Amino acid sequence: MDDGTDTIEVEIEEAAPGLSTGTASAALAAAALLAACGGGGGAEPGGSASPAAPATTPATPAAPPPTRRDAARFLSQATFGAIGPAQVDALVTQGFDGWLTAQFAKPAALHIDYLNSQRGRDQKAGEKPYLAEETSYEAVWQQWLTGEDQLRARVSWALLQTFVISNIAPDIRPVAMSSYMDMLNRNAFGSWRTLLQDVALHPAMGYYLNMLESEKENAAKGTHPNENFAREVLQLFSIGLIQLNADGTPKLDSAGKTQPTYDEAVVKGFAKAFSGWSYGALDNTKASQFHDHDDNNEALWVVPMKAWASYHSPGDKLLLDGKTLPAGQTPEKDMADALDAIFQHPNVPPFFAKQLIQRLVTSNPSAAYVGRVAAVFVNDGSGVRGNLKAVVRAVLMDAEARGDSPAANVAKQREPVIRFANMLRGLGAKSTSGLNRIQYLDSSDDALGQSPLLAPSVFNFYSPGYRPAGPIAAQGWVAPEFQISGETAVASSLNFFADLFNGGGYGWPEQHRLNLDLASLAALDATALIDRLDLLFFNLGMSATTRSRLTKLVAAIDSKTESVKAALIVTALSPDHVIQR
Amino acid sequence: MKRRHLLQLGAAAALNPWAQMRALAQTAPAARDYRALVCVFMFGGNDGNNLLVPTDARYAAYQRARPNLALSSGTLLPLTLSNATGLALHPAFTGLQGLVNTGQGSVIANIGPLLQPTTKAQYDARSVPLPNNLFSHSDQQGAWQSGVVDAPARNGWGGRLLERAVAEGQANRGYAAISLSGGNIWEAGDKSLTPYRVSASGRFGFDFYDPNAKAGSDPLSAAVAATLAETRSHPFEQTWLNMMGRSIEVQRVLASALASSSVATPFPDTGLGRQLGMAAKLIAARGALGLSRQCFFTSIGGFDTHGDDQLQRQAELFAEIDAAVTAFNTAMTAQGLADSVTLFSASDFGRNLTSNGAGTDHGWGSHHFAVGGAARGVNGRKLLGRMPDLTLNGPDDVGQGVWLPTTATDQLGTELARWFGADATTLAAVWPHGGGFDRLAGWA
Repeated sequence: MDDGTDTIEVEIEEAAPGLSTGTASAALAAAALLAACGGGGGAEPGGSASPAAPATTPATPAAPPPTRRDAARFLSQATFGAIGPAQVDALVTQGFDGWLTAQFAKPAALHIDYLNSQRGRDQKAGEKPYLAEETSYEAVWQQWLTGEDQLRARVSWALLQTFVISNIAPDIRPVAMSSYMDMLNRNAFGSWRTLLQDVALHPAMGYYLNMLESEKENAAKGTHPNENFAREVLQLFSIGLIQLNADGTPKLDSAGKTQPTYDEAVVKGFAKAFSGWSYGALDNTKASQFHDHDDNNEALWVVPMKAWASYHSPGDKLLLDGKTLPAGQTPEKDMADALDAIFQHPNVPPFFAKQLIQRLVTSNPSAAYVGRVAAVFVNDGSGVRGNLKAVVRAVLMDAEARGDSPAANVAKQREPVIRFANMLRGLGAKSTSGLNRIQYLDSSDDALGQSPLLAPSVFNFYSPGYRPAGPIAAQGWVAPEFQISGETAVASSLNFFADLFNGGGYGWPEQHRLNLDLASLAALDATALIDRLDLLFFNLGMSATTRSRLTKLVAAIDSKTESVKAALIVTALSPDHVIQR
Repeated sequence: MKRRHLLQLGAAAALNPWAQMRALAQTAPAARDYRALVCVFMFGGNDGNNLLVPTDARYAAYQRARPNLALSSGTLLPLTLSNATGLALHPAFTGLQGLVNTGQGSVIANIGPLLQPTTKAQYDARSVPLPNNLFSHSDQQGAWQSGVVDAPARNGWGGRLLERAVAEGQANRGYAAISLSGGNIWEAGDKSLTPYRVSASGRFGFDFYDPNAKAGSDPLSAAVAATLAETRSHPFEQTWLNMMGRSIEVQRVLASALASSSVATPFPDTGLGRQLGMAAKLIAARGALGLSRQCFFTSIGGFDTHGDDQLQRQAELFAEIDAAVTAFNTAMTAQGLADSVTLFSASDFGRNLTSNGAGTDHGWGSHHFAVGGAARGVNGRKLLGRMPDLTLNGPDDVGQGVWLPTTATDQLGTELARWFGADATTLAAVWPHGGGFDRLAGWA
């Protein structure tokens, strides 16, 4: 319903402590708090622009306690790795529902706070303190390794792999990257519509996909609005290239062919709708500030973008499925309408559901599983669309994800960074300082071939549809994580793990080195050791052949510490560890 | 960006790859009739408009269309082509200029995926079938590498070529397609061939595993060997074992082959320099592998220049390409292989002649180059294909300076396949739509 004020609601990012108060208040003043237009087109329940109200959980009968095996499986789906038997036992007692409820309430430490604590750490006397980009990566690992909000960490990592930003080429500033991570953390259990808006207006994304300072068309200069974000927000972040059924299967026409969701004219239409936005910390009553500013001003990078009407495309804009925005709307109204149009597209629920399932549970969910989760996206049970908390719960509690003996299609390769986190957490890795120095792991020559915030492109590390030749393709399955499992990367990552175990830790200088607690494992007898490895690294699903192999190995090595290291090396390459079932 | 580059250099320098070597029994004598194709894939969609630039009356249209991105004519590197005038290269291509002008390479104009010869009127009316998803990175990378533009790419024209050029059962067939840059579709075959991914740093295999350890002496190696020897019923687990098995194979075969070959030519210590340097070493070691037909995939990224750093970005990337390609050509010449190895560039697509105010957006037809092998001698020092008319909204422009290709990838690909030894049957399998096009313009 149009109440005459064309505005959109924008979440204000709290100015990070450490920024000068001058810039902080300017940032808050400049970022406009605007009331939502209720969204056109009738009384759609749970209006498109307002954040979802928390879903009232309908009363459910008390579930039987999970088995230890299913609890271990759950921890590998919902956290960055089990830390010990007590944790598994506690989960059995608490139950999955209780655990989820507690996790939804856990606060997230701000990555920006970590950055500010590290400001100037490498500077010599007299040098101006600066923020190294490595601090943004360390902040991610701090959350993954030490954060109690493990489920939030897993979900925001999944979101980062869909709504990708990457520092692999364009030099995104660390405050921008960490502010973006904080935004994903804030939205992980909120509304998908709010998430989409916060992504679209975050200056890190604006910089990465060039929506920042994209201008309306100019016939004299021969320029047109930038199409990069307009294209990728459709292709990669929300609806994909082909029309989908509610269960994620492709919608075929009468000739059995897939149908495209949009064409170039639509991309151009969205590009126009997204034109005219620049840094939210600037003064949008001054046309000159649209382009002219000092990129080194950190305040520019942590506040949502805002619009300059004079740079916004005035004409009509073709959106999805023939919907056209009329000429002359404000940039804020065009933005709200464009994001609403995406949000309401029928592809979004199955597209998002399938990718979230792929990141947490399995590469090849059944169409029915996708359909069930997509249905929760459409309506969380209280009439709200896009309730991420409900969707996350649906992904993890679906019958296909649960149980002691998953069906054959329930399998995924645990990506390299998750296996590294799993090893560090399971082996009690701690530094004297409590911090870490995990920075660049993306080399596939001598590291893991994967590193957070360093994806090779906006297409993430791997594509949702990647299909390696051989037995996986023969099943008609996909296995995205195998896209970075070439012979080089496999050898490199296994050498990396061997170095980790043999060296007893990772990182430098000394006070920040994460030291593994191998002594606790060395104190166990052989059977207890292998049982412990089974719980930490195999989801209590170690195969008989792996068990007998480890038993034989441990028996053949006299030194307890050396036998532990050898057992860990073999664990790291065992298929029943690498593949999560 | 520079800091990360230093880190990568440091890591590479610290490695000692030749920990375990065995003398490799020669499986076949070195092939006399050796042919190799080397792809340099520019990921992101290179703006070819700034690679090959007119210097004659057409320059005015070029400058008018992109005043913020036009290279100044005084800095361009003139080409003295045998069949065209008024063309020059981006200032960074000093080496390539020399190669083209001495007949060791050629330039290809306005090439891109097409299903059949297509006019602008047909494109506007959508009255003929067009390639799918023309402006999508992943689909167009697939289109260039697969040669199949109307269906999702499952395998590549390089792979299909090798499936037919290298007999099944030929020893070391698994090394016919080598990638220095990760997985790629170009080298994936339609039967069983997959590209062998090799590290450009020369580090192979598992440091902690000795496949020749004597029984009882090394329990860890024994356990690793036992893991590798398993068969797992779950496809994901078996695939993981397969990948590990292939990694170990490198340690046994390629390390030994490389130990017996050497390349004296220095290569730049850049990403592409290391890839082409390793490719040169592997080509020098071809005798140990006994293969007479190979493909090599290399790549360099960063070409998706939507932003205002396009000029700087292209200057850096083109300089990296120029130095690496020039060194590669020198190395091939030194090996007596100048006529045996064809290196060619490729990219997702070209970009708009006009600008989005900062950089450029996705286009279609683009300009490329080829060096050595098929692009030497009678087909060197040429313009292959036809430059587009640079008039905006003109006969080659399908929107804001996006070029409708005047040459299809099939046309270049067909000539490269023929040079590689493909007969008519093979050509039909490698380039199924190739028969619908004329021969590449300018090709002798």
